[in-house]
Amino acid sequence: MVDEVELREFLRERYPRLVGAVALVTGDAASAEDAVQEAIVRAWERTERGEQIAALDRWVAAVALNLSRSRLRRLRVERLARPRLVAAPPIQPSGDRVDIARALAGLPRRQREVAVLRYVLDLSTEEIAKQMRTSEGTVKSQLFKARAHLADALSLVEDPHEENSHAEHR
Amino acid sequence: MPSIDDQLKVRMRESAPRPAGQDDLVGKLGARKRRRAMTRKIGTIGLVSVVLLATAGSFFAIGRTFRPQPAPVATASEPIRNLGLDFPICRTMSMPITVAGDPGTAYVFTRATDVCPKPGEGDRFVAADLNDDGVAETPPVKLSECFPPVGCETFAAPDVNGDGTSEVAVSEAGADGYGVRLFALTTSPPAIEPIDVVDPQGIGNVQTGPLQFAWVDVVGHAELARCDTAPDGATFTVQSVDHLPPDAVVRSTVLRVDGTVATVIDATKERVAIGDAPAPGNTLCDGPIYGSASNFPNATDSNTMDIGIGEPLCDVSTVIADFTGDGRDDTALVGMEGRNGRCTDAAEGTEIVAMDTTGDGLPDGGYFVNAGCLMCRAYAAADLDADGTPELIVLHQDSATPVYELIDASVRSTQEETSLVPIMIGSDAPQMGLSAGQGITLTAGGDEGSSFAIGCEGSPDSPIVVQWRSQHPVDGPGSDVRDVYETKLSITGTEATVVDSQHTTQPTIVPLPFDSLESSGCGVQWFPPE
Repeated sequence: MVDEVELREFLRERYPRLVGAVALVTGDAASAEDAVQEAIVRAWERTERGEQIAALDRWVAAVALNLSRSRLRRLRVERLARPRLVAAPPIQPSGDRVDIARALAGLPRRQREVAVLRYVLDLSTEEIAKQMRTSEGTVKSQLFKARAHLADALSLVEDPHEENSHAEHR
Repeated sequence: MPSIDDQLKVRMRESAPRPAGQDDLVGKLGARKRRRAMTRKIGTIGLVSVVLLATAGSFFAIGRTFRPQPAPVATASEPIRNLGLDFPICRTMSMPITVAGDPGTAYVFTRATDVCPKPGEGDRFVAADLNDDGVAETPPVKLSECFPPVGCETFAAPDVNGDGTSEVAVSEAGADGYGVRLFALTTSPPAIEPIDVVDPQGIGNVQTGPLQFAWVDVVGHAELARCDTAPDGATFTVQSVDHLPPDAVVRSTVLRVDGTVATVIDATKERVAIGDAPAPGNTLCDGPIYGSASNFPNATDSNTMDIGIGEPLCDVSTVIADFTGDGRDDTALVGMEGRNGRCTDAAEGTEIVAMDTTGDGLPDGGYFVNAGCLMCRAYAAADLDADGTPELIVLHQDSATPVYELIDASVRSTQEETSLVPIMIGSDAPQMGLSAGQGITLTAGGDEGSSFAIGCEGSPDSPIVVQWRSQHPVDGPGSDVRDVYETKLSITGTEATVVDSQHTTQPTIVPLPFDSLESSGCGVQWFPPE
């Protein structure tokens, strides 16, 4: 991370997806971007102090999600983000984006986070459990519920041959 | 047709919002990093042990009458320690433990470098003082994965195996709850070690390896732990609860903890009425939960601090200014002392005023208990005696007639210590209802028949604080005339002297000579309070 080349590569490869994932959880792209940037800066500072961060993208995701959870933080971010939001050209979200956002909004935050960590950031059950400080069994249970809700809300149909497939096949 | 999982992957990834712009992101992040470094408070970690005995006469007005308050209780500060470690520490959190039946204290703290890292940053450790002598006998154990913004905290000290010695639970605030790790405490040799879960029968619903459990209560789901006493020994049970109305499914894994090994001895899954399902609260094994989870399931109180006084400081307000005149910012802290590790109702608490001059989150030079406070808060800093350093102004009673207390914070050069002393009135000031030696209070605003204002003349070179007060009966005899008092005060160091006072009467139909609805002066907005 100290190396600018590595940082650029990380930003190119991982940053958009991390912002997208946090935004799907929080429902706010501007504050998600701010939280991810703050997390990256904190990781940067840590590596400069000689600390090792084993899996940078997971660390950044965890910290960004933690940051986005703080109410005060949210308020501050909203204040900072407001001018940017006003200045930004209006973007009409696509129909599917609205559907996904609406479906995710119908989930409790914990299930929403589990779903995003799995489907967007591709974390394993073990990694999600570790990140959320919970058991793998709980992650499976939360993911099962989230998956059922999302499938119903988005009218997803299971391939008959995949019927026995489960969200926890990894 | 792709599986539902694959469909969700594709659609969620494609629908995820994109960052607004990535132009020169490296530059932006670099600038952000520099801003963080600049705003980070620089402070050397000086460890000062001082006992400050302070009294603050207090006085406040309610309605139309002045009523004297009893003098606050003088309280000796806790000494500030680094637990005998060979490195400086800060952000110290503590909780009482029991060691073979005797009292001790467990600590979670951050290693300080040239600064005190922010919460959730830097290296965080757990250690224990086994005999409460102020020295951590156990080697500090570095805690991993203490994520910002809260970081690792003391959580609880249950005796999960009934051997008379506490285990040490350390939490990390996570997704809508807490992840908790349990450590064993041994005395010979003194050590804190992770407890490992073994599951020889493969029946448990917990991960093997370091014992951890969650403390979570969200919609439809809860996780917790509890202690039980059985004829053949104490057990520790980790539970998860899923609500499937009208029932709840409770999964329990029963562990027997022996030293650093927790063996899964039973696991159950039962369906109970939702109302009968266990739920996490703010106790674990009949002992209190500490840290930001102390009010669980209420939201984390970000206004709670551990300032090393043995209890949390709750509802903390701060004012940052260079009170000591050393060129560096100091932080004045005003909050309510918790009880038994938790924040209590405002009516039950004791207000504390403290000053952190080193940036380690601990009061330097002690603190004092401020009796008579009603929703006190650190309000402002203003140089009321033109000595180049500001005084701390504490909002002492937030109401239609807010009352302010003035506090001097300075380094006593002879003793090289910081002291906080309420500014006292040097001679009787009957118009303000004050007798010599009482802490000065200023009142603004108004209530039935009473009006107040605070002003300032000659600031900043030679400020004179002006307190106006008028009073008259609301109705009946005398209600058409009011008394108007004007008292001018000169402040020097920790003493206020009345330099002028006037008493006049005037018909109530004549406008007051001051504006009780808008008073400011000496750089302070006195009414309405900000």
